[in-house]
Amino acid sequence: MLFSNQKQICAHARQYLSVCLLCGILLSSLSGCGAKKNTATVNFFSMNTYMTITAYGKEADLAVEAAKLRVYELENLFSRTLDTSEVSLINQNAGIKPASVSADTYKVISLALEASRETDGAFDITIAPVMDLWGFTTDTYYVPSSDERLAAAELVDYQYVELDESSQTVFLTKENMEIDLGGIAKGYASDEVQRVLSSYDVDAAMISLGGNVAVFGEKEDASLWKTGIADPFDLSSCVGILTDTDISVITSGGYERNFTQDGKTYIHIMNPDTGEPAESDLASVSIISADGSQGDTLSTALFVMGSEKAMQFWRSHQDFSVVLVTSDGEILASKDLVGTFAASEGNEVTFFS
Amino acid sequence: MGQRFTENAKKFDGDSRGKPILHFVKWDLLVLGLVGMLAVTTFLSVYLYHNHMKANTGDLFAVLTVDGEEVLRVDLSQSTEQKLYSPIEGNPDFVVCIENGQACIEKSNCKDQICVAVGFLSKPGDMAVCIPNRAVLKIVSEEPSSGEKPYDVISQ
Repeated sequence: MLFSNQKQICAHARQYLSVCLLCGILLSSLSGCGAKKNTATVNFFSMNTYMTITAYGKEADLAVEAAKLRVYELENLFSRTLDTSEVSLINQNAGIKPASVSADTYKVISLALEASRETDGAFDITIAPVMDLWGFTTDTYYVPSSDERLAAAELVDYQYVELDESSQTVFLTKENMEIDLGGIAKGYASDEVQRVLSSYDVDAAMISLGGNVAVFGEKEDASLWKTGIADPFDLSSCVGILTDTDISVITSGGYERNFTQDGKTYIHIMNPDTGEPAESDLASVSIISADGSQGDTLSTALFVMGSEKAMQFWRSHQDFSVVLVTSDGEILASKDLVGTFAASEGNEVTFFS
Repeated sequence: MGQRFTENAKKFDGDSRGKPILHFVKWDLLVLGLVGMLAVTTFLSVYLYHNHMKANTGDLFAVLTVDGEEVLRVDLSQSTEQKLYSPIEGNPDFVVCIENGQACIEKSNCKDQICVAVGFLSKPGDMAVCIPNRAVLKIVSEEPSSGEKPYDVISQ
């Protein structure tokens, strides 16, 4: 007999239990190091691009499926090639009558017009007739004559778009005008995907809508996300890496779509002023912002502006961050990225203020 | 034994009024030692397993999906000589090339030819997308944690 009476036996048993419980907690916490959060990924084609949404958390599976459905829903509203979309309805009624639209379409067009005003027309959704003329809508490329360019450019002006908030209508005041939301739709969708994911029990997510990236929360190892910015001269590598979270990173560049004729390369980013491909000294523009719609519109607008005006625009706004890669390969980053953006090996970054 | 417990109580505490007094004896220390050893062993196992997972790059495969459905999977470690595949039924003009542990979309009937321009893929996560054919050629690894890339996602 180890113990002299019943009380001591009970007390000793409790002591054992306490020690075992402590060790149990220790063991389970240690084995927890290897446990992975529930992860779910969806890959799909939408908005004429390839999309990947990955979420981490208890309801990750439900969340990514709901986010995918939301993107499809937006595509059905915003597509210019789908006859039944609201954007097609607006275009079909150009110069005829205002078209009633959903809250999403109204909102995305409002944001687009706001971006046009902010950038003095460097971003313009009425660029559609010019895109069509050069064949970028159908991938049947064509270099138009100066008369043709002029005629198409006549139809481009965001001030010809009239919004009526009380009746929720959009009216293109000139006949044959057309809008294309290609420069904002994915950014808007990215914001909506984040909103949908956040309505579920999700701790973190990584979203890539055709290279338009958004990340939020922390990675499984509690570190921040590493978002690479593609090298416009070699898309298999990147010029630098951003280490951050709760941001969208949206990049535009002439490398995305272009064609070469008679030794000259024509890119898909058009200058709304000239009706011709933008003659920019930039190879790519990446906007880092909490707002995907803003990032999408500004990446196009700053590309059209060129490096000097783009840096000036950042100085006068500073509600976003930017990484510019010039056609000479120089990497320029706004100074607020010091500490979060680092050039990849073999590259150098100049922070501007 | 009961006597020894009481002696221990007096030796380490001296409080023997009413309440039972708890003190370690050699059996308690043995149990604690065993549990501690178990904890350390578990920790080391988890740690070593993670390191092993990180170090192991695993076998690489080139996988082609069309509309999310896998239509081709080739083990890149087995590929030395050039091999051409036309994995999309009814579309012989879409050709995937496997050569020296790399894969590319060699030929496509799409107008933009963006997928062909991507060139050879060799690292896990590398990808070429053909939107008109709704096809994705991707390099995947058997080991999910064997990413060689310095980033999680790329903005382009």
